[in-house]
Amino acid sequence: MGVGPAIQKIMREYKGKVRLVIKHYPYKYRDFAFISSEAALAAHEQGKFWEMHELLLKRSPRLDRRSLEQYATEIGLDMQRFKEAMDKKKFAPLIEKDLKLAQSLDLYNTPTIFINGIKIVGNRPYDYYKRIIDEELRNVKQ
Amino acid sequence: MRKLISSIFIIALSLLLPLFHSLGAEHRVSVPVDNSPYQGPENAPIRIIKFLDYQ
Repeated sequence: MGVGPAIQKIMREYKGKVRLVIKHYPYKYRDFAFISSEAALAAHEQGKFWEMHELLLKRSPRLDRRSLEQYATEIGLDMQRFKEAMDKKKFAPLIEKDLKLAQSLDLYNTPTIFINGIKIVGNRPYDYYKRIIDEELRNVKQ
Repeated sequence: MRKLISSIFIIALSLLLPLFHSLGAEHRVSVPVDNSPYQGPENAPIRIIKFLDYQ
């Protein structure tokens, strides 16, 4: 699933109780950060976001345009559609929207996670997330 | 005199307690989901929103 082992475990252990949403916050001084997010959303258009997402995280930092096309081929995307979306920067406005949102939330680091609106900066161990989620579930039951 | 001081102390404490409580409260923000990629049911009690960078 490619969201980090701790979140991956959360999604397994709390199946049906958690909804995971991905927002893009490509760092502007990294050459391929933005086009990688574009590639992920181009895959999303074809129903293969998570496959591309996982490959991007696994193969990073090999994220130049040629590599992205190779990953798109690997996961069986329609290459003509994929290349067209990349060439026309079809999903750039969505990424810009996420960036504006991140700025409005005063985010400066990735990954940053919000669990029911509670901000957590950086990767944390499974138990850290578990404690928050258990508390949230207890609050829901009350 | 001692009685007066202790009464003032109790009144001051009762006024400050809600302030201390609000300072300790967890800060939550509302993050719009829009059409971002997701997995898990829409009505899930837990919503995790992850901002990431692939590079």
